[in-house]
Amino acid sequence: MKEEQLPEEQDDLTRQEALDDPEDYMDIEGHEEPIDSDAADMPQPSERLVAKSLVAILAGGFLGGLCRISLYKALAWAPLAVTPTLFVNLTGAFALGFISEILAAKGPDKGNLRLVRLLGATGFMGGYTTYGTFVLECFGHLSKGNFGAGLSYALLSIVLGIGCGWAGIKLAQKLIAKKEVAR
Amino acid sequence: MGELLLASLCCGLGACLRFGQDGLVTKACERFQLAIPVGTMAVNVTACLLVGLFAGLSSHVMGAALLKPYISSGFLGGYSTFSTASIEGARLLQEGKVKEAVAHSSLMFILSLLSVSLGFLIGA
Repeated sequence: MKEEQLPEEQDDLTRQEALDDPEDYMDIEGHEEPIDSDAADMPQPSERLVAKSLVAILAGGFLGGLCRISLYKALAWAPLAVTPTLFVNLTGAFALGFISEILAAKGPDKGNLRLVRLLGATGFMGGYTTYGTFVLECFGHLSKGNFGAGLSYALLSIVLGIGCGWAGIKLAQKLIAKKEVAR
Repeated sequence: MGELLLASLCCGLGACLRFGQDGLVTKACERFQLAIPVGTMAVNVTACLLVGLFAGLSSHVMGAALLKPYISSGFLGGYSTFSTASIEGARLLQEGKVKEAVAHSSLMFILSLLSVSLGFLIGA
């Protein structure tokens, strides 16, 4: 996921506020937000924001890991053609596509919405899915000489992973469009 | 139960490291205006090196095998991410950047596979 980036040029009016606390004033594309005197938008010290961000990611990662490891344990009993890794990775890719699109549509990536993203997307989905275990499994196949199994597993995972992500994004876009029409 | 909770906590910590590294790498590479995102790639490749290393160590070091749930499953599971990599690929495709999407996915996988192999060779 792309994190906030400082824009190249800054309007002088917001320059000082932006320097004080860039997080609150930059959205995901790096655009400035107009100064808002609303109390809810008052800048917080950046250390506080970093701490909150890390807590959100830690909590999300904890829950994601909890789900993944529990699923592995549960699926260990079932004779599967594919590993639990493929299952979590594909469902995770779909879910991430979905929620990241929903969150992006809800508003600029700052404040509580950003924390929700860090918890749900960066934290949970990142913890729920795993690239390391996936590649290790491929390595396992290849090192035993099962080149067919290794390469097809890799290709399947990557292609279906992108496909599931795409599907998640599309579903979210459909739901968002429906909501717009209903309004 | 305790093992599950501790492993999950390690996963959360891995996710924090991923966030930090992704941010740093993305920022450092901004100037190059690369065609593909590299933050996730850096994270996954590093994670795979460690996964391979740990898998190699586990084959002959008793302590390593015991730590597996916490480090491999837990920490490295949170540190690496498949979902973000997939979404990056999906978004590149949606933008019509097919070559970039293919480059992104294949580069990430090949480098990660090499990392796992290297890590394993070192650890074993």
